[in-house]
Amino acid sequence: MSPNLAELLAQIQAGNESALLTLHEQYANLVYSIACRVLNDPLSAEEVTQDTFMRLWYKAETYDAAKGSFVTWLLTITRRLAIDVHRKYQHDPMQDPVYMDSDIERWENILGSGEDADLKGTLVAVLHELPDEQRQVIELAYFHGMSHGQIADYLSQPVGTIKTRIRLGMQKLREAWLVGSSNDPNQDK
Amino acid sequence: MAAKRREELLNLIPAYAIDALDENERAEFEAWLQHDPEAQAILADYRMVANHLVALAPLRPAPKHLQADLRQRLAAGSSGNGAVKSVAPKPEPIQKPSRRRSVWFLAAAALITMVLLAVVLLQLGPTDDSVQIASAKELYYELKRQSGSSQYTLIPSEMNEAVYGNMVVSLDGEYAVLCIWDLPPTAPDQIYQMWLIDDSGTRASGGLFQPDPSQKAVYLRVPFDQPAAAYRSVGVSIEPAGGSPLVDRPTGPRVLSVPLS
Repeated sequence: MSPNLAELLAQIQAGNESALLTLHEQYANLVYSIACRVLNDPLSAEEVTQDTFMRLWYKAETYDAAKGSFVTWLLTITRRLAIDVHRKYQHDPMQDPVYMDSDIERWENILGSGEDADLKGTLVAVLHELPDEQRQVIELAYFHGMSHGQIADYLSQPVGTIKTRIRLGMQKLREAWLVGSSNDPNQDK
Repeated sequence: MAAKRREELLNLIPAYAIDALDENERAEFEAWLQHDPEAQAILADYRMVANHLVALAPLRPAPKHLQADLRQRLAAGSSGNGAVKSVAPKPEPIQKPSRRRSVWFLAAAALITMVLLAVVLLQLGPTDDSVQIASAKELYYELKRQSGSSQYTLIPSEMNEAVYGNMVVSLDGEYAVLCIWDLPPTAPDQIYQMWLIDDSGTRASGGLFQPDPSQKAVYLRVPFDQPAAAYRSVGVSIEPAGGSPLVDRPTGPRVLSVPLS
């Protein structure tokens, strides 16, 4: 965790509103992007974005740098809040097209900062190279909170097919991660 | 454990990492995972991978007004409505009434209810911009007795998780009353504002109100312009004394919501 971020989080815990607004300025676009991807509804995404930062305001102390990066933690909160809203309103995921991000490099820069930047960048690149049918089921699970069975019903495919697609897609990503880790001198493992 | 079953469970690790297991699979998987260090190590890899799936979302710029909205939310919170984290027991889940009832029975009940509603509504008198509170309690219990009425559970925000209650809606969706328990008074320069969110996501003010500190619960008429089925949810926020300066959205923190789906 960068000293600047650690300081901002400490200030938020102390009740410094400017610190929260600083992080909002830095991360609102990311948070909003994830909320939009889950909900496909700009107004609902705005609410989830604000709720995410209010949760940060009230619960900044629950972030543990030893368990992962701040941006990952923040976006996990966003995704879970958005999935809760999604489930309440039962949006149709088919209204949300499975599409590629046109700006992969920007995500690489966002997620790939720090010592293992190259490794994370490789993972993001592989993610975008997955076959459509594998990426689709992973997206339905990850962004819409759907289980094997729900995805199978939704796509009218056998559960076994869904399980296989998720497994194969995730295995490719893990392999990329492991290969990158073994080549990365900054990695301890 | 048989090698074949272990192999099957190992194959579920990727799905578990992205919360894709069905309930019936999850319990067995988690019980097994606790006693298999190799599986735990593999899961750690997959969790790292899952953290990067956000990159599948297209990047979009957040609306510019969000920063100002957040500033106002914080200002509202610092005026005496900070987080209240006590947890109160929630009411029993409310089941939607069964629709498998006799049509004749429903018709008779609806007719009786309409007569009673007319009496109650006549007693309400002329309405103004504020939410009617006094007689809403009678209407609430009348609607609860109405055969075929629906009830929806209130969901408090993190701001005050002790708040609870429900909303009851008449059979025809024309009348609704929101009942909120343990809602604290706002700061003197603030007020609660109700919001009606329709299916298109458009918000409209449902009026301003302040709970009576001497009462445990507050009852609010929900001024639907259309039948309740046309609405997605009802919400309440804390706003400056005159209400939200924006006509189509709250500027203060959300206190609760009542999903209608």
